[in-house]
Amino acid sequence: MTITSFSFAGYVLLVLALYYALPRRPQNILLLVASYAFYLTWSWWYALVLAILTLANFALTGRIRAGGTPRRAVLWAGVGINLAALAVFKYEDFFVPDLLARLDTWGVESGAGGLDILLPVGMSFYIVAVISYLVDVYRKQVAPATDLVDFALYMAYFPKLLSGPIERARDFLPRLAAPRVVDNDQLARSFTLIVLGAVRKLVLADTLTLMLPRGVFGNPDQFGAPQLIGYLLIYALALYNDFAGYTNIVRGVSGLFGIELAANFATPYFSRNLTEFWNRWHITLSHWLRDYIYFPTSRALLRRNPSRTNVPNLLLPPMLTMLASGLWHGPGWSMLLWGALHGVYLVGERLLALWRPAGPPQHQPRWRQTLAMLFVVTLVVLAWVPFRAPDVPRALDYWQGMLDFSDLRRPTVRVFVVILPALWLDWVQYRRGDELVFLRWPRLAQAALLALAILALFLTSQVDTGAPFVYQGF
Amino acid sequence: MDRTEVKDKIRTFVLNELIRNPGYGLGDDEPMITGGLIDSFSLAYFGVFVEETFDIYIPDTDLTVANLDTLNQMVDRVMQDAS
Repeated sequence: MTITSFSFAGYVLLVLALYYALPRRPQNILLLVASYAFYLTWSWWYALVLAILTLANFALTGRIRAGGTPRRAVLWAGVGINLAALAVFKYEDFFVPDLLARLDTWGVESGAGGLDILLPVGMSFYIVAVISYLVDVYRKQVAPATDLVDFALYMAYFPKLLSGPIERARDFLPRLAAPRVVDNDQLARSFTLIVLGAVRKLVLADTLTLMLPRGVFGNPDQFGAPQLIGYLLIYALALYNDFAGYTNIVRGVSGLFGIELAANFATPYFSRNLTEFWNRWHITLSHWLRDYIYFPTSRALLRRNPSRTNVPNLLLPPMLTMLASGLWHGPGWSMLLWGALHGVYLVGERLLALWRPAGPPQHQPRWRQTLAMLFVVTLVVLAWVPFRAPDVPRALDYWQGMLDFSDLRRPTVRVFVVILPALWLDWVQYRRGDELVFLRWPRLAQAALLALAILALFLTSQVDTGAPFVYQGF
Repeated sequence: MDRTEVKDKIRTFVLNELIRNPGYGLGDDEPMITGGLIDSFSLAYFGVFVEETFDIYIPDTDLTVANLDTLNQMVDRVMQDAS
């Protein structure tokens, strides 16, 4: 059941009808049952894996609560179990074939084929969420969960189960324990988010994806440089609207239950530096990487040598963090290349900052801010090549093709019919610093915009792209 | 710990090591991170500085923009943990 389907809409309405008739505690039980029922529509195997990991993590932190087991042992055991599960399901295809190939070169017959294990959808997201819980319990920033229902709901809550946002237990568990308030303001916010998300995903992302030729990233040598550049820009916008659209929808749906989910995007293509970009793109993952990889690594290195110009201090935290991000996104060398590129970008920014006095970017002249945005978006878009390409050689071919202007074929200008509204949507939100700026428009303008959104959704519904959410693959 | 002394030490550190502009007239409630003077990653440096200067450990997950955007917020956090 995908979240842009009518069946999902019907499912949400059914759950809501029961939900509003119940007091808070039974509401959580209902949501837990509904979450597992939702997950079962994908696979019983996914639900079983989630249930086992939920019980394992709950039991582990229960040992801390009971006082029998050292905190550090629980932490290592928990992180180990979760990472092992992720390694088996997600990275088996990455390291096992390499390992088997090496065994073959050494003359060792492994006799093993691929394991063909299917990664449960959403696993990458709930694994990092529960690791944050384990670390926070270890650091005594959150008490070990005592309520299995609430903890299981934290893991399985269906609006965020498939592709986040990645919620921290210390923020989410109190929301589950608090009374639910769904007033007119909340309904307006939720409805706006759902419509925005549907427009981003179904109108913008899916249409842009349709405009991408199937083989462009797999066979870039068949396209001219203007086409490769144009299609890369299209992909950049499609990817963003796909994931931001998903997040809008699930946040809107969750708001109907009176449970807030964290924002994940804040007009990232209007960033003036790479650090700002990573505070605007996939925010919950970025902050997870910052809190559980970047800061611990930085502080450990700074304690050894507090110098800002010390090479390990400059290089290691950004590179390790972004390589981890690449690995999280997928088991492949091209993903690691993507991560490494962003690591190099961040190192470059730090080197520049050493020799240039800091100043608020918003105090810079408008033309400098615009140039900075264009520069940042160029770097980010170029890095999407290995993110999307099937492997490193074809990523290199794509970049090379972008510089070869012997073939001047270009994408159709019809793409601007979609690109311009996509940019306008973000521009309006960026100018006000508010994703729900439309709620402050005059009623007539709101009505006109809503009518336009519904018309666009209707028109695009006539074309079934079948395009899944990109981030469900991670 | 005296608040004025703590504020002076933190101000000196921020101007010299984070903003790297000793002559900058930093306001006590001026947003440093949301204002673009420093990035959120600089908070790792602040965390180690606080450990070494005041013998206080601020957890990584508390090194956030919401908690430590202004000089006064930084001082408040140190005073809170010191007490």
